[in-house]
Amino acid sequence: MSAILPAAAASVPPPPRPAVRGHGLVAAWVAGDFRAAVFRHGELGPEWRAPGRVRTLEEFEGALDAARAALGGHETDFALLLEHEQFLHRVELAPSLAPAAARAHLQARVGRHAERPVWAAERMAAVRQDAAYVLHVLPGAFHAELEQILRARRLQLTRLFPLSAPLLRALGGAEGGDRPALAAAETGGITTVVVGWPGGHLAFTRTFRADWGAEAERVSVEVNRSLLYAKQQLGTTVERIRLFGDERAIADAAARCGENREIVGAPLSLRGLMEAAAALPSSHPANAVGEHRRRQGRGRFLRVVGIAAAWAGVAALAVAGASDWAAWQNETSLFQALQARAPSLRAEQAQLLLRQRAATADRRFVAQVDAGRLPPVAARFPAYAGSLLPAGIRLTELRVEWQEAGRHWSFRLAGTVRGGEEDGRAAVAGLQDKLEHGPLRAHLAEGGAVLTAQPGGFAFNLGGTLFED
Amino acid sequence: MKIKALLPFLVPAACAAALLGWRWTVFAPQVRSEREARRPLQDLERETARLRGEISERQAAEMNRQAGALAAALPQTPDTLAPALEGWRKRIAAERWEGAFAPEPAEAGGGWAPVRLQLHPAAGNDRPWPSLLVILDEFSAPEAHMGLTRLAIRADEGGTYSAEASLRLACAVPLRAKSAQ
Repeated sequence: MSAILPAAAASVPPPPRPAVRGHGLVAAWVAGDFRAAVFRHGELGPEWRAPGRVRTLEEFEGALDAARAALGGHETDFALLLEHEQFLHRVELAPSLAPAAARAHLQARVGRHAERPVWAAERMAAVRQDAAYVLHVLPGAFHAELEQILRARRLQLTRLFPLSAPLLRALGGAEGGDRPALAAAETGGITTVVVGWPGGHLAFTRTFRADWGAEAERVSVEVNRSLLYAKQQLGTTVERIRLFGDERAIADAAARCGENREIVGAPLSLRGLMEAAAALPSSHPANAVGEHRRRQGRGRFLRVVGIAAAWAGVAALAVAGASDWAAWQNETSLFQALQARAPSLRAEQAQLLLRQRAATADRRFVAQVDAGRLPPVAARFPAYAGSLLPAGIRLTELRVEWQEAGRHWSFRLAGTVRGGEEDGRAAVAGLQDKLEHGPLRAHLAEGGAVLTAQPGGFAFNLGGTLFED
Repeated sequence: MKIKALLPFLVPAACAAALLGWRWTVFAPQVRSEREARRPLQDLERETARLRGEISERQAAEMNRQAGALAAALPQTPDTLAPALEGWRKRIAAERWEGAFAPEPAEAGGGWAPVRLQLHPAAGNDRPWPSLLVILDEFSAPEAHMGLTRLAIRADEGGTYSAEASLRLACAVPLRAKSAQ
């Protein structure tokens, strides 16, 4: 079944709710046709249309000034629906990578064809080409000039959409279950075909040259080819078709492709597309300046952070300098106070030095007297030796002397032992043993005691050192 | 255009450079040189504080008192030993021994005067050994301020003791002179 609904029912687009609620100026510059309107609270105001064709940026500048003069208002936000020979659209395949990697891949691809391009990549949700993107590329120079024109008029280009974006939005808003839908519109001899899923997901888009009035049959053939391609790629049939253009082409397409399809036809309404474009958010994937603006925003943020950090650094340096200066002033005032009491300080130091020298001399004197008095070894040794003598031994001589050179004491004991030789030797050996193992740590001379026989016993003579470490 | 864009960075950078330049080329060298010039006086202050804390007035007075008392108790020089030796001779006599002191030549500038001592029991000393030990004990007492460097005791066949000792007596004047050096 096929049907062509009346134009009033098919007015394009029917946005259910605007995504953008701000104020702004919306313009459509489509194939030399320039229109502008003020967008406020989701409503498009009166439209101004350029009387002649607008082809170049100079003409655009003039048209913009005329539009602003006619529309009034002081909007700064500017959204542009653009169909221009400089604004290119093409499909690119990217490996199935993470979004950032895919974007880098696409960036490299785009960079080959344009210098400093401003571009957007819209992923096509086709079943068999899940990594295909449609790129909307604006040359850097064109964009820079456009920006300059707008900036001079305090306008910010926040959104720049290709025709396919509002067309896709028109599809998303239409009723039609869960099947994909197709929209086609002719602008200045260029036909834009968009196939999308409900919800506004792009399946694919294509453009071809055809005059809907003169080449109605060819338009039908191309639409039909798009339907076949959609069936092949998406695995399902497109049952809803929206056609915006000459009624001859619409009628022809309905005849050729309308079997079991719902076809809605209407003349193209640029105002409707403008309204749909105005309602699209700047984060829309088809917004050619979205990424550029985000990058600019990041750059501005980093710039602000950098400037703030630079001034913070300067402030820190200044604070540190002021702190050091204050500390130095404090140190200087302390030093001046010190200088003032320098004479008394010198006098006190001299007095203290005298006192210290005197005290040191006194301490040394006491220590010298104490150290020069030798330990009482010589005085105590006679009593100690006497206590060690066994019965039968009698001392005849005891000597003990301090040896300054060796810092030890030497001693000699001489005496007699009564009785036999064996008893005498045992008694002397006992004495030696007690001396050697006693508290005075006696160390006997080599050979030990010398015994000499004499009447009634023996004479002995032994010597050694004490406390020799 | 680029200069204008860089201006927000150039201005703080210039300020930072000026601040750092002032700090490194003006302030820091001035601080260094003035601190160098101030060092002697600050060293004097530190040294004075150290001296103040090292020995207090009270400690110095106490040490002076001790040294004075010690010096007063000692013979002053090796040439003025006689009063001290006479005192010792009396102490020895009290133990019923006879002591003969013979000062020996002292080392020049030495603080200790060597003295030779000959000891014999006095007549009637029936306990020569214990009394000799008492005398030796007194020699070694701290307040005697002398050093017993040599001792030789002999006992003959009849049980008669004799002793010879070398002593050194501290002399206040040379020892104080050495201490003051």
